[in-house]
Amino acid sequence: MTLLIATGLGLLFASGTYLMLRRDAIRVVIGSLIVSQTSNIYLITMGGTKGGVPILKHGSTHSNVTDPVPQALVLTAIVIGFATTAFILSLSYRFYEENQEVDLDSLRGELL
Amino acid sequence: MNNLALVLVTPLLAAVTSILSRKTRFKDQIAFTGALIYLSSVVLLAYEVMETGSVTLQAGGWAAPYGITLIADHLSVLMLSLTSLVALAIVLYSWGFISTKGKESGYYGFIFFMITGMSGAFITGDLFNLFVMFEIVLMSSYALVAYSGSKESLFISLKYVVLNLIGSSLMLVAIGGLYSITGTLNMAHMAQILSEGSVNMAPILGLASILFCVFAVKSALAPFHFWAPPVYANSPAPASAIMSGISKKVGIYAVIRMYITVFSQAKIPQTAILFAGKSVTHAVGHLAIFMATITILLGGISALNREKLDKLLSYSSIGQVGFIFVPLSIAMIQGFQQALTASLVYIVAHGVAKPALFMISGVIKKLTGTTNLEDLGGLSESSFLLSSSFFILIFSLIGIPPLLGFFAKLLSFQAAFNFGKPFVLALLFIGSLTTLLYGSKAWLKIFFGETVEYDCSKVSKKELFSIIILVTTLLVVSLQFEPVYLLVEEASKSGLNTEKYIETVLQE
Repeated sequence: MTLLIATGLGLLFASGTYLMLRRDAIRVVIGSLIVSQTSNIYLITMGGTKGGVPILKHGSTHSNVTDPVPQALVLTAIVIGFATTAFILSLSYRFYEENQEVDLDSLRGELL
Repeated sequence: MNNLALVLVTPLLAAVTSILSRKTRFKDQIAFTGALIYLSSVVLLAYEVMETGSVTLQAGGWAAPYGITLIADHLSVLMLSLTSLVALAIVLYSWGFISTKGKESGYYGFIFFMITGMSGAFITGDLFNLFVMFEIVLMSSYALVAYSGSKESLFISLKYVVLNLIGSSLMLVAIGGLYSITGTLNMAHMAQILSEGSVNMAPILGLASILFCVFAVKSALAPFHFWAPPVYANSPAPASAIMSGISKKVGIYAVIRMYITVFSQAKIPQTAILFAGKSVTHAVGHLAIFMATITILLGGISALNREKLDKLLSYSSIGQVGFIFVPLSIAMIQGFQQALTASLVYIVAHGVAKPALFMISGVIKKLTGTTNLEDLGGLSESSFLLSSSFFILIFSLIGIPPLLGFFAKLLSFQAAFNFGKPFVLALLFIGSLTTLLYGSKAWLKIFFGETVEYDCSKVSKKELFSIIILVTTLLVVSLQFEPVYLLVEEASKSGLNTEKYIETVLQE
């Protein structure tokens, strides 16, 4: 299970990085969003993958329990990521409106 | 109510109120009152900390390692005082500087949200909370960079957001890893667990290095400095003032808190090949001093051949961060209190002078429509106040006695001398030389030479007065350096004293 998740995370990080290196601004944006979402998934796995529900009852053992704290953290991170996503998408739309173009290479002479 | 909560709540309330009142006639007065109330709440907190040593608040009444702890010691109070003073000057400056249209689209709200995030970062005792506060600061700065809505600023803002998204993801990775290894997010608790030495130190070293890179992005340390100059040159002048003066210092503060206080407890085992028996902070310190010296060189040399005043100031601000980081990394490597004090004095000197310089650059742009050094000249004949302020600020930046910049440079050189590595001393010297060169270049080009007509009636009294607030502070601090030095020394003691930090957070 751990190996599977680690490979999946690695693939997601890699595809995000690949997209960020493209010359199309929208791909760059989507790549960075993939990277930020992947770090959220990574954060969830930090609580362990045992699968038990952390509810305290009489006679319950705590050996098979997933740590709930990373899930609380991830909720916060998702909300922050949502706000940033909204901002960056509207920013790229405005960027497209101003330039009628999202290809960063052909904008190089104008903006850099 | 606890004074700690007040420091967080007042700027938040000011932000909400200024967004609600942004279309009314009293938007400026409300924002200015907010800044004043924030300043007084910081003074209240500072007074309490001076009396008792430190103030803590366990949010929601949850006991220390389980809930979120807010803690203010001398170090936090020093940074908060700097923030609140600069915030007041910036709000007053914006009153005169920002157009009515700009204010109606919620400018003050962004400034106050940024201040909220910064004060939160200075008083939090929880690693994840630090991340949230960073995000609040970043979110407001994204909006402020894209503020003018021009092609350039949209492009720069897009790059800035993408860069910081990567930075935030890395920070989450580092925080998650640290949590899964130590089992806590509370900084004091983490320091305690690390000092017990029962956890595996190899991932701690790696995660600490990732975290350091994230903080280096926030404080624009080379090789992560490239975002800063375009961002500062394209934001409105007061926004670049607050970003270069204070938000960069949030990253530096986080380095002090996390590395000097927390990771210094993590000892690398004796069996390791490198740094055996030393602390994780010691190891990261070697990386830091390398980056810091390169930053000094890069910032100084790039500032030399800039044709525009705002660009010159941005690159100078990169170089100055290098100057702050050199004594800081010496403190990380050797744990010298004197080195940390030097770095904190430098933070104060730069944090007061650089915002004021950006404000003057904004005024000059408003007067002449340009910041090209070639097209400017002869301002000393038009405005005595502006030119004498610029004179004092640039001299403090260069490090001419008796100004604060001189003490900061003196202490840094002393720290580098005690460190005993000649190349660090040599690079500090070259850096100071470049500061002297670009400082005098800017000064000569703008204030002497052929006279350009300045219509000084366009400068409002508020803009001038806010610059004068900062210049006066700089002069007062320079002439009364003794008590300030004692406060800063107290701050560096509280940064280095991990036992006391753990005790304060966990025993209450």
